[in-house]
Amino acid sequence: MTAFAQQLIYGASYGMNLAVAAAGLALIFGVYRVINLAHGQLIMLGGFVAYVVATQLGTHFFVGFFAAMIVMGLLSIVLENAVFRFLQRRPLTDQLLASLGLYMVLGTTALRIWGDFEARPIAMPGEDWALTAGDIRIDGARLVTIAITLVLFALLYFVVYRTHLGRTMRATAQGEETAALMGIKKRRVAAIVFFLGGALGGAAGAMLGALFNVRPDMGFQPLLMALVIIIFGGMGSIAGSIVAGLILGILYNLTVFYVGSKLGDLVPFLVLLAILMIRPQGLFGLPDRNA
Amino acid sequence: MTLLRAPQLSLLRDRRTRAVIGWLILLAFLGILWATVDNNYHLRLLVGAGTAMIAVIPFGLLMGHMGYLAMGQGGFVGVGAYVVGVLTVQQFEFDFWAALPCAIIITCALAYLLSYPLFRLRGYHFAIGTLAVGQLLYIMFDSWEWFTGGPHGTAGIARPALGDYAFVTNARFLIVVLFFLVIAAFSSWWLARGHVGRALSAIRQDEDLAAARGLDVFRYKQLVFVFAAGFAALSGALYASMQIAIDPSSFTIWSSFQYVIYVIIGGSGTLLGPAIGVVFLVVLDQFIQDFGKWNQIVLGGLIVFTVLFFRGGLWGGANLLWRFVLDSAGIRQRVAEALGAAPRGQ
Repeated sequence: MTAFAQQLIYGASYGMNLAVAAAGLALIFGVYRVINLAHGQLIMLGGFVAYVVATQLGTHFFVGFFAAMIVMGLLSIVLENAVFRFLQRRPLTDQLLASLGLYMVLGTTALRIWGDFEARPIAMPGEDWALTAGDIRIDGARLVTIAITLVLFALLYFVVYRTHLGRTMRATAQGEETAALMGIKKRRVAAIVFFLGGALGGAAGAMLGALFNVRPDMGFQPLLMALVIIIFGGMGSIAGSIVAGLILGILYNLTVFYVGSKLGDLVPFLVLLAILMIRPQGLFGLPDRNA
Repeated sequence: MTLLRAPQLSLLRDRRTRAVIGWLILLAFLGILWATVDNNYHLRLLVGAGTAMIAVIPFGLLMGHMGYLAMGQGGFVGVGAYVVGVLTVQQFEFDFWAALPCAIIITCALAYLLSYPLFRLRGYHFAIGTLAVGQLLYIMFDSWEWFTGGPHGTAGIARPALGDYAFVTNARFLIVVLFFLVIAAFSSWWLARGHVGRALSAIRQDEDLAAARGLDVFRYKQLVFVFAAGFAALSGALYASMQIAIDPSSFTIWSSFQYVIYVIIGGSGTLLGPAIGVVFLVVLDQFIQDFGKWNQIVLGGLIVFTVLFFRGGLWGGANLLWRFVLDSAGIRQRVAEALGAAPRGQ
């Protein structure tokens, strides 16, 4: 029972991390209608920015964390301007392939710089203490990541639903042409959406890097998980990302703990196939959406 | 007017003629390579390229003609390879020619069953659903140890033989590969030219409209999906036989992406395009190996560039060039003037 409770919380913290990554993907898809496979490499590069700033330059974790968010947000804007801008009205095959090309370019660059696969840790507040209640022992770092993700989601919710900026984003999501006719500058909305999406990816990378070390191939698994999460939660829904991320993280951790790590890797895809068969629009998606 | 058109010129401008010419050039290229290459390494590349084409040309029907992006094709290739591996080595010691149809039938059955849930999906959902299937199959190859040999794979797969003539060397094995390549290309062409091809085109353009007009959309999608999976299995079986040993690392998500990349670089929506894509990328891979580990950057950049600026891929580019040459050389005008007619408007 204690092991179960512990795995539940570890799963929740992993799931929340994935949810942050997935929210970035969902935000971009919801407003801009593009799935950015390069998001996985933004997660990975975010981890490396945090590593360089926090570990190599010896600053505090949060300095590295914010650096990762800002740098990845800016990189994401660059990618939007260089590539995705031209793909908005193109078939999804083109969008997926172009982002796959970017994925390869970014991944290989990182592999050239940090390809020795040394363990690259990031020190994180809460690593040196743990919460114990009876037999249950929970690392402080896990609790800190849960706290960070909650703050991030609160901020994201505030920006999207309580500010003028968020209203312009939602208007663009509902109808780009109409929004543009109402005087919303769509290039600016695109830049903001990609900045937020990239920053969320960078944040997820910094946290995952702090929990599991930073590696050049660390973006792949979160990317697959994030793809599953955005379908599970409903394409483009932020609330759906949180719920789906939590469920998936917990299921993953419990399976790895009780059954074995290889079957744990199966979990997201079995969940995905089940969701696609029962409710293809996802938890919070609208059934008539033809994406 | 139509009667006055220069006949030989309209032949040159015809799409189908261009495709035939393209196929002849490709086959001549492969034939010359086959005749001139004596280096075993290059022969092996040629066999590998032929094997890939067997999977890619039918896959091009699914992705290019029908517009359904399947990102798990490597999984079906893997099933074909492993069925042959298991039947010839691990459990039963079948002959290759007996294992091959088993591999194709099993993979087709699997694709048939999977087509029911997968074709409830479209667009992104379909792409990610097939990605999940590919990844599930990969994890199965990796973890189902008594059947697949787990991470170490299966070794000692025999090369096929006909009577006393064993296709043991790469030069001989290439004959087998080319034989099946012709079958793959011909049956794809046969499917694409008739009502199936028109149905696929209708599905790509507007699936709801096609369904509303009475087309049994699902049957056509299922047919093409199973067809592509069957040739993927064939390709996998030949791959297993070529490699002699297989392991799960050949059937990852990246191998699935590889097929998509072949189609898009070569030119999607045509049959010849994917084949050209295979040749181009296999050759390119030899050149960019000199860049060491940077070659993935070259390839990734090439994909982005092709998607953004070069939508028809290599074959589309060649067609544009062909028309440009015809027009700018003034051949069209001259022939038309000789026949006393104005050139036909585009």
